[in-house]
Amino acid sequence: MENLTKNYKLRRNIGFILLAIVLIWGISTFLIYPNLSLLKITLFPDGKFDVAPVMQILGSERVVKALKNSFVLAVCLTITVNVLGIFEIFMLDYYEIKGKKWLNIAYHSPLICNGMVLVTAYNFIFGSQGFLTANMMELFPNMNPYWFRGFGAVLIEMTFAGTSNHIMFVRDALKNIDYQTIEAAQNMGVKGWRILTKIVLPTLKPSIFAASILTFIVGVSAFATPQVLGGEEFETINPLVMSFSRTLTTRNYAAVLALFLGIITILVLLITNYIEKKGNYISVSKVKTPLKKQKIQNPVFRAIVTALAHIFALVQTIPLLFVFIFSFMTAGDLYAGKMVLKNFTVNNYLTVFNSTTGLKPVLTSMVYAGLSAVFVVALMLIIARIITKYNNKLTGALELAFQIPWFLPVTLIALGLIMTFDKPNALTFGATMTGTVYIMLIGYIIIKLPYTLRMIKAAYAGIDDSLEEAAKNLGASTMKTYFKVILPVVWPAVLSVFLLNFIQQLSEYNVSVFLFHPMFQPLGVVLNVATSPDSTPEAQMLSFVYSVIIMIVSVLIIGFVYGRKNATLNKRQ
Amino acid sequence: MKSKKLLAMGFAFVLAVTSLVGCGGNAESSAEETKELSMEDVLSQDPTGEKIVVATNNAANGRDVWLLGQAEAAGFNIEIVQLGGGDVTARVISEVNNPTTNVVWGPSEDQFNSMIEAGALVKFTPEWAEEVAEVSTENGYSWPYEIQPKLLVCNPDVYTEETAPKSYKDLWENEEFHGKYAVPTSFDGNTNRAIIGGILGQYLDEEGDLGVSDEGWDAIKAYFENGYKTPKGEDDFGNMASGKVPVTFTFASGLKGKCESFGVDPIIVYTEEGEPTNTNQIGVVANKNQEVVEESMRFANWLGSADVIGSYAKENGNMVANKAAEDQMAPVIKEVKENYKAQDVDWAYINSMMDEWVAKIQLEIY
Repeated sequence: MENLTKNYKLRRNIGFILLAIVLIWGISTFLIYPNLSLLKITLFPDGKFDVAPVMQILGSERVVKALKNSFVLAVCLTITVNVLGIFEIFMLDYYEIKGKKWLNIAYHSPLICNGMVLVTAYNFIFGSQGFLTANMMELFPNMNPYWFRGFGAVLIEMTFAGTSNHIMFVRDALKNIDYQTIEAAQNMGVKGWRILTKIVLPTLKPSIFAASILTFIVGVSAFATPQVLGGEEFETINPLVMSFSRTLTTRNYAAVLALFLGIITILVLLITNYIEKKGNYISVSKVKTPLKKQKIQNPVFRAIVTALAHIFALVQTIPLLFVFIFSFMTAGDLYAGKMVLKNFTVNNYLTVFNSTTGLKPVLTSMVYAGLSAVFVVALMLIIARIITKYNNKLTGALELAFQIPWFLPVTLIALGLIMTFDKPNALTFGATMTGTVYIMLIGYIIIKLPYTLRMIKAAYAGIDDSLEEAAKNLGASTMKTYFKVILPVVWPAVLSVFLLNFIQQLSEYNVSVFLFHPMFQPLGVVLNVATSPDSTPEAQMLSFVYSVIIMIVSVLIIGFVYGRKNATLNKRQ
Repeated sequence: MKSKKLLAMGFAFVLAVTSLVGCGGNAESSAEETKELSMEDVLSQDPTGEKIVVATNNAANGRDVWLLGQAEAAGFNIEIVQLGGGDVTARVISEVNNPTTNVVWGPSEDQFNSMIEAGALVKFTPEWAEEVAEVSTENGYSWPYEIQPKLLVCNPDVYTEETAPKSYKDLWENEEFHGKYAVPTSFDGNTNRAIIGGILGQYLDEEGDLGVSDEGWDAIKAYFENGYKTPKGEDDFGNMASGKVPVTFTFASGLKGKCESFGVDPIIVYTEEGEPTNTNQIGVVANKNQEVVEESMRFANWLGSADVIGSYAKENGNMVANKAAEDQMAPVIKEVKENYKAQDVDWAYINSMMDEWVAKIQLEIY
């Protein structure tokens, strides 16, 4: 018996040591070394730290204001997305509201549209020459054509575009609530509102937390939306970082600015980690009774809530509909804000299909996005498990290491990779990665690490320890406990992360543009070439076509994954 | 099921990869046996059909289909990669030790200079070198195929030849043009950079900040302050056509297409100081595989030749560098070619300072 335990411990230790070696190699090769060497080249050009860029940046009114704006946007966005997100989740899963199926689709719909194209669509509807604005100007000739511009416009667009992300996660947590707890409270005479604040919301807390951090980071690093809708009054920092990181001589500015942003992000993460550790979450149920939908008793209140739910659904879907419509229009009509039905044409589609790349970029992006999403999720399932299970300095360092990609602009990460691995390198066992098809895959994996880790960690945090103990007491091995007990609980969240990663990577541009192999051009690159400033208005129309293609692919994949998810659920029940 | 499918996809992907890597390896070993030929021998050979990758910013609007068709008919086997000029340049430079592209077609001479400096290109001389001799300073690596003046254009209903601005300086010095002209809103495109260079280049001063006098910095500041920053969702040329912001600028090869898109025949202002002008060039990327390099040279030579570049220009409204192809240019471009004069400032110095100028503008002025 003693021998057996020893043997088992030994095996376990060898496993751990192997894992540790692989992790240390992976982290230092792909996360630390390339980024450090790039920072060294940019910040220490002659071996000495050059303070000039720091002073210039701090002396620039525009930069300081943009930094401030980014921060304010992040804070406000975290609030608005949480409010809208929680409202929508309750509409979907907690209250009985008419038209749930439609609401469900509508609330998730912004996920499938490329961010840049979505905000462009907003602009062609609400912007100075947009359709809505043009029509309203006919009724009210004195109105300001730039009414949808600045901080408010940015916040509104980002809230409606970003809430889907939020609800995807927090919803899964709502399903973990035991309805018996709610019934018990009701039997004790607790009112609806108090049930919400005392029972339902606390259960959602870990997911709300994770989603809030992500929203904050989305806000701080906002790029497309402020560029399109912010106007001169509301500039944020990331467009500046991107523009500086593109040219050799200004890369140091980008690095310095990125460090500023990185410090803000680290602070926020530390604070939230601290709060997260302090809060102890009650795990509500062992054997869950599924949630029963509540009816809103007050008819006036019910009518208002129902109306709001449907208005939000429309706001979230109409821009997508317009992307579809725009893809059939001519550039002249679009810029004139005129929708002339007889001018509708499939020419934009023909141009895409007839181009030399044709639809190959769709396939390329699907393969890259799919492979990277699977790999990242699988890896983070292991890492997040280790981090939640063993909470110590070492795992803390591990977590921080995987969050490095959050602290640097993705352009710099891509450049770091391309310049580090352009010759045989001992770290990659003598392989040259630059110019191969693998390097973009590595890039895709790297940029999704922090997000995936955070999300899966949150999913693990919602698990009741006693579930695991019970399984062990019943004699299940660690492996068996994990696969039979723990994995099924986090599985919905894992699927969500997989889908989001996949869909976002379908149109990834900033990393792809440096790393793609010429024979395999990804969608993001062909889409962005079409929207570049030097391209003609006709070429820009193609971005709508590519977006429609991305939407179709996304819907198919979502249908496939969730179709399977439901099938397994049904089987289990 | 899902995992199986993904596995299958991954497998297909890996297969494709290994076959690619395989090809590269074989070609490399045979390269050592080939001895170097003279330029004449290389160019006189027929295309071998060796696969080459052409990176270009000239492939939008169906031009990729045209190029591929023509190249195939001529016996070349090419893959076209469409990227912006700046992105092509950054990629070629960062991949200097292991390039994935073979021919670069389209960036400006300034961008080519940075590729040359990085050691990313090989020397070659096309057969048509003589025909483009006066167009730009010869560097031995990259050759101009197109002249690209930046033109100031005005709405013909709002202005006449007399009332239109006479120079860029007019725009900010003359109050009646305030708010009536579009200014650059991004700083990575060649056109926008040339406009800025054209203004600051008139105020070069060794004593001044970044080589520009205080007067120059005041001028560029006034230029931006009194101009119209076209928001996204509006098109500067469209605004000019509708009269909303009646003055803007464009690169010459965009003139024909934009006029057709927005149905306008603008007044082209030939400014007193001359037009900021650069050339777009073609070059061959250095590669260990000599066969690829030679085929790339043949391709670049073919593409820049009078017949090919002439028919390209005819369709797309380019101002060709190759004298032998001038007859084929579109009428409007012929007219521009006769009337414009290239602004005479120290472009080599301007381009060397441009990144820092743009950084200063972005941080302090814009």
